[in-house]
Amino acid sequence: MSVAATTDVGVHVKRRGFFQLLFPSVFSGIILGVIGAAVCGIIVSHIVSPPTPDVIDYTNDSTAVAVYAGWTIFFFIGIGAFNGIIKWGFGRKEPTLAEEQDLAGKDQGFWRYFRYTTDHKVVGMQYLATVLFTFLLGSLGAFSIRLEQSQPGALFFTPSTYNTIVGMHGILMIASTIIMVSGPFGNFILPIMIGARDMAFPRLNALSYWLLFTALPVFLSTLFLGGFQTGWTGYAPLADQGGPGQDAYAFTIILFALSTTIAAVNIVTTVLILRTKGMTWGRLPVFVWGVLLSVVLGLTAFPAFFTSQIMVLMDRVFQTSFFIGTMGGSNWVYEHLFWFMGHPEVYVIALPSLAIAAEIASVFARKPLFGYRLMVSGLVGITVLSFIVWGHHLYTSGSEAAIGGPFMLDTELISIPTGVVFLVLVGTLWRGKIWVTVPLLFVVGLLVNFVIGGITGLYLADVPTDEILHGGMFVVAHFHFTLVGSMVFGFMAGFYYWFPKMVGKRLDPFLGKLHFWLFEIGFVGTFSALFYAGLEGEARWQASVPPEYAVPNLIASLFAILIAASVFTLIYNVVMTLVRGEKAEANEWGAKTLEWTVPTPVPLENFEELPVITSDPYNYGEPEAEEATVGAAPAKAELQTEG
Amino acid sequence: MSETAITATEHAHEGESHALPLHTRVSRARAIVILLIISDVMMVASIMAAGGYLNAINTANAFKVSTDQPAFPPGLIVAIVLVLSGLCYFWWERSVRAGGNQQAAVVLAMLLMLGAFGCEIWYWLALNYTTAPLSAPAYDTYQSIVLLVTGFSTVHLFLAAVVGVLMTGRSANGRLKGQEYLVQAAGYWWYYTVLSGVLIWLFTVIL
Amino acid sequence: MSEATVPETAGGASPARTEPHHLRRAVLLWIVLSILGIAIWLVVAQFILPTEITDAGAFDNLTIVVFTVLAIPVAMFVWVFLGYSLFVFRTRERPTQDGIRMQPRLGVQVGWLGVTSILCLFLVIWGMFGLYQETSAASNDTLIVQVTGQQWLWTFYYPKYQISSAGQVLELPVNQPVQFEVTSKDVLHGFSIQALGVRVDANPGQTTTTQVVTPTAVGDYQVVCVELCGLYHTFMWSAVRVVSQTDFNAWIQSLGGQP
Repeated sequence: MSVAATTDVGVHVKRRGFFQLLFPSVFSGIILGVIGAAVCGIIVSHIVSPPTPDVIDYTNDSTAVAVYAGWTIFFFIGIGAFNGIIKWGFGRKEPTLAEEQDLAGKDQGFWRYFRYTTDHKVVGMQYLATVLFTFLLGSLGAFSIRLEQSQPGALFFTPSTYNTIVGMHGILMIASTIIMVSGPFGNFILPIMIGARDMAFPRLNALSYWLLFTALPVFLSTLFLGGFQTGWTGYAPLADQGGPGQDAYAFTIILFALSTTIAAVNIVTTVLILRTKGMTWGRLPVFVWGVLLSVVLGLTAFPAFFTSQIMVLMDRVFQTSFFIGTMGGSNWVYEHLFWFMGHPEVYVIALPSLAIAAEIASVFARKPLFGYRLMVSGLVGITVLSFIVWGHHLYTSGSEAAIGGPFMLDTELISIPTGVVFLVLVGTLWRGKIWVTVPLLFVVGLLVNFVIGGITGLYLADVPTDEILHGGMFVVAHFHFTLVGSMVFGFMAGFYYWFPKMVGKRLDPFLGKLHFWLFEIGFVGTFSALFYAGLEGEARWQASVPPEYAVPNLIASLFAILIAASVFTLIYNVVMTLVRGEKAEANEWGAKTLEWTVPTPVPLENFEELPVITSDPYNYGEPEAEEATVGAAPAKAELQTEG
Repeated sequence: MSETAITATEHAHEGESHALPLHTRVSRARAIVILLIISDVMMVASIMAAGGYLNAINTANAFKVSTDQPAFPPGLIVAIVLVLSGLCYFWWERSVRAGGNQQAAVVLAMLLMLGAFGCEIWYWLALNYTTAPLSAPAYDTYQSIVLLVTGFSTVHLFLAAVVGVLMTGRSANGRLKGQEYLVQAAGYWWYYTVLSGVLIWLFTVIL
Repeated sequence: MSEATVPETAGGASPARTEPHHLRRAVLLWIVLSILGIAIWLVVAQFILPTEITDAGAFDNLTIVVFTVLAIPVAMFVWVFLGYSLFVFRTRERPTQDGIRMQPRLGVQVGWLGVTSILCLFLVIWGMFGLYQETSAASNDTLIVQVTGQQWLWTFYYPKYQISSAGQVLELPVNQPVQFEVTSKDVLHGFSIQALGVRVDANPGQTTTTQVVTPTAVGDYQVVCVELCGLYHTFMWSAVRVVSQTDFNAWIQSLGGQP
């Protein structure tokens, strides 16, 4: 039960009826969504196929799409998302401060996480919880894969189930890694970091999260519809075959693309217009640069993916032939559309993590960034180049448009801005006063792993060697070293770093270090073994490991046990901390970015007075640095938050 | 009914946080529309690139049959109605910038957009692509592209019509006073819809 | 290579004498470990490089060796400076002092960009050379094999002899250039023979060709499918037998063709 502190004006506790809290909320959304899904499904199934007296033909693709569309639209009606639009167009007056704060979850306690709440901190926590959940699901998929591949032969799963598990693991992890930093930290931390009270579009913020939420049941429904056989890349024309499980995948992508586009628009606008006084582009924390560039990439690259899935759904539902060779279609068009998104996408994943690494390196070496401009140029260089390298996924496709030479050149060129990022990170740590905390350990892990990930990318970038490596486990190990060993480690660094600010409690450092070592050792062991298997010629997506690759696969599976142990260590740490963890300080690490100047828990509107900035947040090593960062004195918590 | 008294600090902020300075709100409105336009342009580009690419590689020589070409008049009518709608919106925008609010203009613009939406549906019906039994690919790839483009256009026009309805409502409630930048920002989207609608139609003509 | 700036110390002199030692020590460590790493790699490589029996495959293996030799000093640079920092500059408790202010001098930036660009250029030129080698046209005596992928098997047709191989076995004569023309009957498949160094997708409605390769050793190898193609993708493999010319002719004849 939340109690507001007394002030000179006097305050009353706002008591809300249970009914007022429940409607609208996620619960009303789900109820209405399910009803809407059923109604749309029934209507469409009766239009498309002749009405049968008994059971609805649930295996029909058009019914599936109708069900998903109905679920989504009616969920949003139920959660009250359309209220804002209607009021915008037809309301008699502007929303008052009290209404806006009510929408932001004021005085609603824990319930505000279950409603269409606009407070960016609430949305950030919602994203965090969801990302951890999808990571867990994806990890279960990963452990199932390693279990199956520990010995030759089909041990636990039929090929159909195995293909679905691989596909689900892939897309769950890709989706999670895309949003893992911009979702939780881009929402919670970024506005505070630039000295704003909220995002530019608070209602769109809630929308972007709830779109992600609606995508989850759509995606998980694939398990009840026979799964999907294409893996996370969803290649057509294989995607045109098979049962409605594929429609679940395609529709999930559509919702996810909408969610990330809206989030991208919000983040870009926020950084453009809501930076506080004195926060010039040259003083913007690197983390903000990383997230900004990442969402700009996402904004421009995701529409191609969206188009590809619309085409797949049209092929499946309307019997068009975008990908059917005999009718003039081509699988190459899918591959080009997909990878035009697919390559920028890995940099959408990478840029925020690398930016976090830069932040954390500076804080825990207590040294300025070794080249702020250099770092930003590196990130910008990666962003620009990432648009023109997608053809390297198509070297062996036979498509003449995927001209090997130029794409090889561009792909090798990306190593230059990446190298700049390495220089900055290593240079920041060099000769600092290094405080080895859990966040820093994960940054170290990122640096160690990214070297391997980046270098192995060079072999794949080279067209002739790709002829013996494409589609094999070498590729798998390469992208796991980059996406997991580097970028997820970056997320973990950010997680341990910002947890005290977001949740207000201190994670146990011993368990954190245990988590790190189990993860790192397990990870390097697993994927080094798979590099070897790939060199020897093992192909990807093997439901039954061929006997000649038994040894590396067994080794990989054994090391994966350590990764599993690390996941459970993390879960244990988080749960125990939530239940009885120590309270954290407002500036837990002695950092200089703005989020550490506000109290924990962070007040509803973040700042008493908006700060004025006079320098970048990396001016360590100067005796007068303490006062230089923030113009206004840090706020004392006069207004205690709710919940 | 429960009540909360506003604290002193909130009172102090009332002017600050929830009335963002005007220039910030103007930039905000412009930014969201421009960013959404960028995203939309990328989608249009991806569709056109896909269509052009499929045309170029002409797999199995089966990309297009001459009878696939849509009839010219319906698309032309859609384009004309769209342009008229854009002109009406521009008329409204000019009146607002001059300090007045020629509401008839926005109503007309909205109605014309709805009309374009309706004509797009007629265009789709006029395509007359035969549908084979659901077990076979029913449409060749050229027809598939035209259907995709038509569907996309339909959704686009519908969205613009919704924007038009919302703007009309806001204007009728007198909530554009002091917020004329909204008319300009929504105008970006309006003109973009008109332009992209015409370009998409031309794309199907020359493909 | 990378020279840290001599810090303009702010408040409190740092002992100037120990500073160069760190850099010197780290660079020395880097050089030693790089040489060691390259030496170990050159020894180990022969055990982990894939089997190859064509000159295309041999060049791929050489590429892997050379790229790794170049990569080892780069990797060691990051790891040595990182590790050195962690061991030498760490503080036991939460630090009470800040680190020195250090910014990359112009020389460092230009030097770093220059060296990485040169490395990158080398990789590109090497890659272009390899790419050029691949594009040699088929000569008159190149054996063309038409490969058809379908869910979930490969079939091979020799247009020269007008025979289809039985049991999806691909038999090839040693020391004769061969080129594969690949297509698919249904979905995307990936035609791949690791030992020959060829890989190209099988696309429905299109025919794609691999480079021309010449197997130089008799033996048994495999075709595997490297693009997920549905249910039995895992089992979509065929045996490849490289045999002597006489054995090959006998095999052709046994299938009813004229060698």
